[in-house]
Amino acid sequence: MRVRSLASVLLLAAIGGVLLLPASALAQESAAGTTTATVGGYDVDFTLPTAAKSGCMVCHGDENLVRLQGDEIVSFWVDPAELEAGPHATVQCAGCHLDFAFTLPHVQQTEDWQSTAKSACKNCHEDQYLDYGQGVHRPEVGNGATAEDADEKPLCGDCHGSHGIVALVDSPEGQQALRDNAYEVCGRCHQEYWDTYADAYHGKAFKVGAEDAPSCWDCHGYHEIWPSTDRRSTVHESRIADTCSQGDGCHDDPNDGYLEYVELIHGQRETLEQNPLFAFVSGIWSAITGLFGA
Amino acid sequence: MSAISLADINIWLDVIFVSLYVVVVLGLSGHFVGNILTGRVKKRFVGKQWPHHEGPPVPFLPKFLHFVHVFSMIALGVTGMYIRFPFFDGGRTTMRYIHYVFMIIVTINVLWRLWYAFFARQRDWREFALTKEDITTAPKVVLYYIFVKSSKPHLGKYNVMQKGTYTLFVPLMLLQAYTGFALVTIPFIFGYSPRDLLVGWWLGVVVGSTDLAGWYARTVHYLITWLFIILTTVHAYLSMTEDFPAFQNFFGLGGGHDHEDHGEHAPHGSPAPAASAGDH
Repeated sequence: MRVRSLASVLLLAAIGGVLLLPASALAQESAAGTTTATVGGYDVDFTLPTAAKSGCMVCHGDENLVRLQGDEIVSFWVDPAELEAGPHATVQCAGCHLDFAFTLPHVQQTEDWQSTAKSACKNCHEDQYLDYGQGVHRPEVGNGATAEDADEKPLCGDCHGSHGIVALVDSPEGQQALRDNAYEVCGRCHQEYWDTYADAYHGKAFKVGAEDAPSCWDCHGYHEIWPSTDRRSTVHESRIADTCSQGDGCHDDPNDGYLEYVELIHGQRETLEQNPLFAFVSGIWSAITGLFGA
Repeated sequence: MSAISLADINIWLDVIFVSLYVVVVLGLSGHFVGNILTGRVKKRFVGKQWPHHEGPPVPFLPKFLHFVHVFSMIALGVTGMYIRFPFFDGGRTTMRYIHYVFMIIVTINVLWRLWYAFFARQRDWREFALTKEDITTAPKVVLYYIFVKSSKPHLGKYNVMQKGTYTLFVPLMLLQAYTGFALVTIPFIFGYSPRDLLVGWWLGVVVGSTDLAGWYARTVHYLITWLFIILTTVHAYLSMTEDFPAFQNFFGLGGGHDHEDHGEHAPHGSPAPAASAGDH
């Protein structure tokens, strides 16, 4: 990209502004592939990238690349270090941004370029995508699910992230990074279950970083995931014993008596509140604090 | 499914003991107010009228073992409670290892103390032994502590409540050590874990699962932990308020007593003067 005038920061912000506007209004594409745009009275020439990642990173590698969306400044910066450290360092940008149009703006405004990128994983990770397609997170329409419901279903990138994605297979660091990010992966959509995952040995311990406490997916599974009421779910009562006894660090031979504890894993608070002594003590405490106006 | 589920038992234990501990702390606070109102605090801390002790001073070894025990129990209590109620980020493994280290220290310590009590040259188990006279005079000791009486029977170095508590500590500690080791699931003993060897092969068979046997061990361990916390809190309070010089002396902070017999004690079996009522 060649900049003719003013400071680069202003210019990059202006470029961001250009991306918001229809291409026909601002830009002319020359036969040589150079795009000229007029922003705020300044002419800006772009040489849009072809297949090479370095082309994209000329602009997107600059952390000042932002644009204003409403009252919010949205960054379009892609951290080169993060990208290079990840498992997709050798993948071209257009390998995931499948609808990149080599134009300005890069995609048609009617296109949901983020959904395209978030689902592009299927082209390489076919098995995982097929598993995902079997589970409850598949964006299915029909069987009572509307298009709106389907839109709310998570795509690959919603759980795994995007440019900062980490390798998980044979990667303790990647697994740990995923555990550290569990709220973003599961909790932000399943807030109620995140909040109730609070028993001493599982949820409470997991949330304070206990290495031996199970993450959401350790019990519920991942790509092919089902509601706990579905017999295919790993936490369905017919399969819970197998799930609890998986791996080396979990339970050896949980029988029915032992599995009674399962109700506390997401029900600790509820069980506590149903306890008559707790209700009595809480009542006294409320009366005392009420007396002092607290 | 049993009448009361494991989940309910877990919750009941938490609620009962947290509530009970609050009651104990409030009770001790009230007791201290009683000490002030009845003039016992003034008499002791201002008038320096502390109990007298007959016999030689406490040797170094039991004091050392007591100190190690106090330190270890605090470490075990804090780390154990963290394991059950993780209250800060990232400490589970560290806290568990600290717990492991101190559980070994405290187990050695209690065995050493038992050896001292029964087999050392200065063995002192008789000082802790409950006698028939202790039992018959126990109500008077209780009445003293609840301010109904101004003195209590002086039968020896320790009163009946102390003897009872310290004696109770021994089986509780041994059971705590047993159940504590039974929680370790690492199979480092010829492929077996302490849990397998301590509860798995018998309780596991009875209840149908090694995991469930481990759960019972954990529950007993947790229950005893609370008993220790409550008894130790009361013990610490009484040792400081009833006989502060002895408390200091036990931790090498000075204090101590004149161990000569000043003739101020009431004869065994009869009420001691108020000043010597809180023998420690």
